[in-house]
Amino acid sequence: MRKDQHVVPNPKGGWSVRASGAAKASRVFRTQDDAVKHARDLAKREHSELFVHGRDGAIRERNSYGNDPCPPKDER
Amino acid sequence: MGFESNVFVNCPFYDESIPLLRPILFVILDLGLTPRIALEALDSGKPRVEKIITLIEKSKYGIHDLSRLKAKKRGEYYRLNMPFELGLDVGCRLFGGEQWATKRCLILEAERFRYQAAISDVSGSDIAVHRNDPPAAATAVRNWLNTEARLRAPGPTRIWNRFTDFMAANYVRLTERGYSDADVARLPVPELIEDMRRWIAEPDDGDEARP
Repeated sequence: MRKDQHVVPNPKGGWSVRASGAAKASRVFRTQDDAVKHARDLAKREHSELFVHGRDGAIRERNSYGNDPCPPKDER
Repeated sequence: MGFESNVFVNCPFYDESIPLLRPILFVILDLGLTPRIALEALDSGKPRVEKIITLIEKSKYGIHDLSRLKAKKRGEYYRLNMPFELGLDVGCRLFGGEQWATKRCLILEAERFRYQAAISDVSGSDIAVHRNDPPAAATAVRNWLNTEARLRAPGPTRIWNRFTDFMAANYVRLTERGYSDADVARLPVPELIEDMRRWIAEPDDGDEARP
């Protein structure tokens, strides 16, 4: 089953990468940039979505790496 | 909505305070309790203070965020609604009678001991410091309610993770219905509470983060 990836602030400090619905983070990073790089790789590999959350939990960025509901038309 | 499960939320509702308010409301709902806020009865003809008193009388628990007590710049009025409503809540406990003697209050502040300079009479109350940090505010509210309501709540990190899952799911749902990013950011608080309630009630589909 496809699992979307989230970059979220960790209450204990740093930034967590976590799949939707997972109880625990797969990894925790010191900076948000490093967490986003790792999460983006995972999302690309799994053809899923990446959600980058702000410190308040709100969505700052959303990127889809698969299952595009409106794929570009093939013009051949 | 019973007295034992109602939580009166006395927090600012303006834009810059929403980042703290959102996770506080989510924690209350996720623990199976009911947030009661002044905004829920805005359409009635009663004076605001009467609505507030009714909510206080109906709520065993009160969460009072005093972190906006201080004016930020010269000429700005400091805000007295929050300490005023805290006073009403404490008064209800002290003078209301037997049922209200069990009421409990949590005071939230941004910095340790800062409240003592402005409202020293509340020394000795349950006070938690959130440093204006949303995860810290969520943890403080979860920890206090877990103790006071004798819950066996999931850990703070798990509840925070569920909150972020809700924020993503709600963002997708709202944007698919034509909300802009600004619309999502300024979602009216009563609508936000309904969305949280709906998401929490949904079947879990094997979601590990659910309690």
